[in-house]
Amino acid sequence: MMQFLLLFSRQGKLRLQKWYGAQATKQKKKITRELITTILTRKPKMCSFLEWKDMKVVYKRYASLYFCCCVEESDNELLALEVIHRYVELLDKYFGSVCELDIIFNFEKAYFMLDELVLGGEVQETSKKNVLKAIAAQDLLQEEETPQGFFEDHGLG
Amino acid sequence: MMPDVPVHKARLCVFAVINLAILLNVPRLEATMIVLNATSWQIAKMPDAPARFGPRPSEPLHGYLAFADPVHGCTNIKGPNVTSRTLQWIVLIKRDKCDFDVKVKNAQDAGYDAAIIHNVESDDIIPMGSGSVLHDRVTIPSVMIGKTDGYFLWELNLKLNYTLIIDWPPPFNPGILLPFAIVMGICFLLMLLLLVAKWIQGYRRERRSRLSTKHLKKLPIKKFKKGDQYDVCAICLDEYEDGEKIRVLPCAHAYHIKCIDHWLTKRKRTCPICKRKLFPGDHDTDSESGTESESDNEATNEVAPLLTAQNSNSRRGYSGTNYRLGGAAIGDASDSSSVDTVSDYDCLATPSTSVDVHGSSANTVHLIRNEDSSSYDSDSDHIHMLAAVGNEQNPSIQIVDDHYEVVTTPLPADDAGSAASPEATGSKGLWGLQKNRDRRDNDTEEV
Repeated sequence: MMQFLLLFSRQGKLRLQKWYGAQATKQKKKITRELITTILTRKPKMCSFLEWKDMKVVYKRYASLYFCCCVEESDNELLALEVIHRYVELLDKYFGSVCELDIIFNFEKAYFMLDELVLGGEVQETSKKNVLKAIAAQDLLQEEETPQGFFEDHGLG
Repeated sequence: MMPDVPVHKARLCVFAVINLAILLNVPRLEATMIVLNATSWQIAKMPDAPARFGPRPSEPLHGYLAFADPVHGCTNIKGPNVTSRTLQWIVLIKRDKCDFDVKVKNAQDAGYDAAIIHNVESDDIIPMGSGSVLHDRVTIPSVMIGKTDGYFLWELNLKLNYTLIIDWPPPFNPGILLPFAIVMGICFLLMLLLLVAKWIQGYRRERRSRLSTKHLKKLPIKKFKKGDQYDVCAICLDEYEDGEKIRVLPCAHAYHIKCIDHWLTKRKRTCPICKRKLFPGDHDTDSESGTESESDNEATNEVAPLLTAQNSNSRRGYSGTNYRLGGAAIGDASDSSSVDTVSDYDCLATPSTSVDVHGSSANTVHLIRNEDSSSYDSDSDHIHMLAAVGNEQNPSIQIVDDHYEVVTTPLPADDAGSAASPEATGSKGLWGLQKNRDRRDNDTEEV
């Protein structure tokens, strides 16, 4: 089971976090700080997997963003890597050539997508198509619900 | 070259110099002379200046006042009234007519203990000097006072037993100046060090920001032709003429070669117009590999796409799982080229993907997935996930799914070649376990 997923920039700024296990906020902060510093100091050619406590941390850098997830020792780290990549591909497909700024400004979408893909630390939906379909439906719903201003309604906006 | 010295530092310097000058001058300031009446009541206080010759007692001198006779004291002076020797005798002499030391010598010969010489033209007080050799024989102290004070003293009625106290300034002692000198010296030294450090820092920064000639040569030079898009050199504001050599920076801004080279080699390695770095990421030239840091810097940009074209196969029409990722993760970047070729090949023919996994043994395992192009659906790519799950049961590579054939080949030299044609690998007779995929199974998954 995946324990948590962190997205952080090369500058060490946390962009996204998802915790699948119960952790105190203090503990979360501590873990985040520790992992970010550990991973940022690693060289590009170094291994993407690292043993951490009694778990395994799998990270991968995409441009300016680090995707880092922590899995249990019995889990397959290649699978974790695959999940990360699947997530990136999802983001890419949804935003169209996704960049860090997309995730910063549309973090809720990124969270939705992650929730569609992974639930409770396990892969929920392997099909990108289905995930995107769900997100598109969600967007549509959101658009309908968004109240339009008076001026916009009359084409004056 | 020399960085500007900040104003406050310059002020500090000036202040220190003035302070030092004042310090050095302190012992030269005039001492004071106090006039007391018979009841020891102070009636006047006047500034005086000790002579340069004669002794300089450390204690204040207290004595009766007497007037010189003759007033200029150039010849033998009448001696003091020796009946009263409880205090010392101080004689008042006018300036002029002869040298100071002659007057003082005469007073000394007459038996006085000290001499006061007053100015006759002004209130200026000068430390008395002497031109003759007489001053060597002067053994009494002498002071000079101003004109007003001198005539004030002349007016006094000597019957009333006025006394004088001449306060001698402490002799100049270089010993007391030493701590000051040390402190000032340290201050100066510190300032100097600070200045030098700042200068070195500035020089280094400047040097770091300048462009080396080696890099300069890499920038393209163009001969200007009529009709080119460039018209004016932003540095000299001259229009380009035919045949003039211009340098085009990577940001597509052009300048005269003589204008821009000076800027680049002496100032900064940026475009003067748009401030863009000529070589992104080369701010530290002594990094081990330029290309790596360059790509590193590009990737740190927030607007850089996470999935670049070389990073993702999905850009090339095949939305299957990117095994480039896996290859990179395993740490064998050289394999990725072969994987790329495979996917290229796949796109042309049948959508099967292979991954090279270099294990600890010298074997290469090709994981090959065969699918008919007709039945290919991007949605079915989640089979890969299943394949990866299969990994869990066995630490070594063991992926057996209906859709996969696992072909193991002893690491050949023509790795890419064999990987590029999975069919050929099979036909080469290398041992492999092969299972034809079951269409029915795939169909159930797609539901």
